[in-house]
Amino acid sequence: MNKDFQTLFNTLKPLAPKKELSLGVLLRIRRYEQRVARIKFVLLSASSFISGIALVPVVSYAVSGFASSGFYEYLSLLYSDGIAVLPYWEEFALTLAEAVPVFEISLVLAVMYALLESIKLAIKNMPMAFYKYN
Amino acid sequence: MEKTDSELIADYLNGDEKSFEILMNRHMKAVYNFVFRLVPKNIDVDDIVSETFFKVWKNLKKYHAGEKFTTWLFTIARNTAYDKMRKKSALAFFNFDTDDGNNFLTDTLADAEPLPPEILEQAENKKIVENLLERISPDYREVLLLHYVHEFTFEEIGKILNKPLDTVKSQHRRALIILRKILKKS
Repeated sequence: MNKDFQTLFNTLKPLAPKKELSLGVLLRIRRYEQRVARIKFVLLSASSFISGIALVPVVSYAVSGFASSGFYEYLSLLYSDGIAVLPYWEEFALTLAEAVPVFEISLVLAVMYALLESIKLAIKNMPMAFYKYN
Repeated sequence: MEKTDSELIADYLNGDEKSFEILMNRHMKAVYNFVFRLVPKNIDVDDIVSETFFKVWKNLKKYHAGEKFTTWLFTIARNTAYDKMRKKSALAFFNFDTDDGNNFLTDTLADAEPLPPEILEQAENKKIVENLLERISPDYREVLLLHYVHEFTFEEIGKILNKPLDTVKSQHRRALIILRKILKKS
């Protein structure tokens, strides 16, 4: 470091930024976070609404899937003549498991998960999205 | 004990909102002074400083803990300042620079002579350095400010400016020659 120039530069008076500057940055950050929270809230609300609507046909599809797979018939056999089934319980359990409409159940669970997760995140974003900054 | 910059960043990323405020207040003055002296007077310094810290906040996850925070911070500040200057076309012309970025003074002067003592004495009372800085190109100004005011090493300045070490050293030498020439003239 050149000592002469170091001495010269040491004469520069340090300037103090306005106090409002750091507050301004924080406010800008909060406003940005709020904008993001609002966008998320709108998208998640839409996602909740769509998943809620989608749940109706998906559930009815799952119910018809259960009906067409014969699952109810096998299950009713268990209640009506359970003792007769008991000696063949392993085969019966396997048949019952095979009759479960896995795809339909997965679909219902996926839509329910989307609905609940959307509601949860929308609620989480709500305070930030609607907070009023002065 | 005061927390390091890296610790404050880690704390902020772990949910401690106050840590970023502490970090910002710690470096606000240095960044403000650097930007204030780097950009021409017609450019809003507050705007650049605000933009700098906003970018820092937005990219905090990209900061590598091993890296020196101030080097990263000044890189962002410098780039933000240059973006503003480009928008305002404030980089076009400086007193001693030619169109191709060379400087005729540096080719004709040696950098060995000490500064006359009276210049150093006068500088205490007058805004000599402020005026000097305004007369040289930002390329030279930033090297001098970073080295003499903010005490970065040439390696760190190289990282901030994204230039090789030799280029930084050469810019520093040229800057000193130009300053000396201006001081002698005045």
